[in-house]
Amino acid sequence: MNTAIFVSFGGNVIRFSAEHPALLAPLAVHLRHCQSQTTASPLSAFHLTAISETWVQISENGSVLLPRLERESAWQILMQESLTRLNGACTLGPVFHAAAVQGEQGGVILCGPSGCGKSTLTAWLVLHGFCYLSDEVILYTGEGYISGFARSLVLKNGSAFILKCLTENIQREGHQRFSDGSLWLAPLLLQSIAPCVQTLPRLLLFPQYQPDAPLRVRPLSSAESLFRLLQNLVNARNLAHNGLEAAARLAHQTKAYAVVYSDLNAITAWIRQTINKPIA
Amino acid sequence: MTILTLIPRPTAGFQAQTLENEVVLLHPIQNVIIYLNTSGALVWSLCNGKRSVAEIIELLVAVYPESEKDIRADVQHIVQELMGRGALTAA
Repeated sequence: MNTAIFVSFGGNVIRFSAEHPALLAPLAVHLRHCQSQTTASPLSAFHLTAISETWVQISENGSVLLPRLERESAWQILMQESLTRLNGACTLGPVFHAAAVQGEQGGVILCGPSGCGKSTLTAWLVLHGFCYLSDEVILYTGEGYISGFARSLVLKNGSAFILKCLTENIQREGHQRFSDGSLWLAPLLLQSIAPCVQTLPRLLLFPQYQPDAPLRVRPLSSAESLFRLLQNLVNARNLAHNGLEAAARLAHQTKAYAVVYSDLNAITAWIRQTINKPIA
Repeated sequence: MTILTLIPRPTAGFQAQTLENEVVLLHPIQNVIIYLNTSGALVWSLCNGKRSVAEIIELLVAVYPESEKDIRADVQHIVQELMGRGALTAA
């Protein structure tokens, strides 16, 4: 008997299936907030087949993609593939490599490449009262809103101290540690409410974690913000004018800052203070 | 030929987006993204394939005579930089 889940983002759907629900269970948990009611015309259909207790095979659209790999590797690959395929196909608006959370006054975008500290900062903000949108990609729509791909937060080895803040929840379903030290953490472990669907962005931050650095904040002009946004735009080829005009709207609409930080409490306090300032 | 006699023009394929007197240039195929502050944006806007660098300097010095020395240095630097990045081509 086959079991399947459908995951959507940016107007497209991907199907994951397996012969046994246990093979899909981690994906079902960690992609639960991205699951789709729409099941028609998926971009890709991935199927997991158990070869043994340890090994699985991944097929895509009926052809073998990876013939033999460990289950944990298969889940990590499929989590990443879902993101890559859905982003790459999105035509609804610009998709940026960015995390996002929502505070009482609006959304906070944390934009930047891998390694700049987005996921750790996102987890910290969610743990301190912000609502989760995404730790990896956001979609900016023509109406001025952002929505996120609300998979579980993926924390790299070294960010697992976040777990120490969750001792009361850690026995609950929703976290998974991998042999490479990375950790998938369902947002419901960090907050009592489900991730939000979309929000109006209020702050656009380009964070850079630097060990032992004091908090340094530099306001960016709209053009500087656009310059940085374009470096993190992942679906330019699908968009009119390669996304330049749409990205410019986001840059013009949202106050932007370059932020260097090491102290999570300090940057959290600064974000709270800044997001609560009246719009000039 | 010195840089002053060059007649620069925007290279085909670059898209420009102006925001509050600053400009971002994008060449989607070559994946080049360039940020121009207000000075750079002004020079970029004057590079039309008809004016030489010397003429661009003259134009700006006529408007900002008190900054002649800076303008001479900055315009040449900006044009060289943009030619180096492929955004300007000698006409």
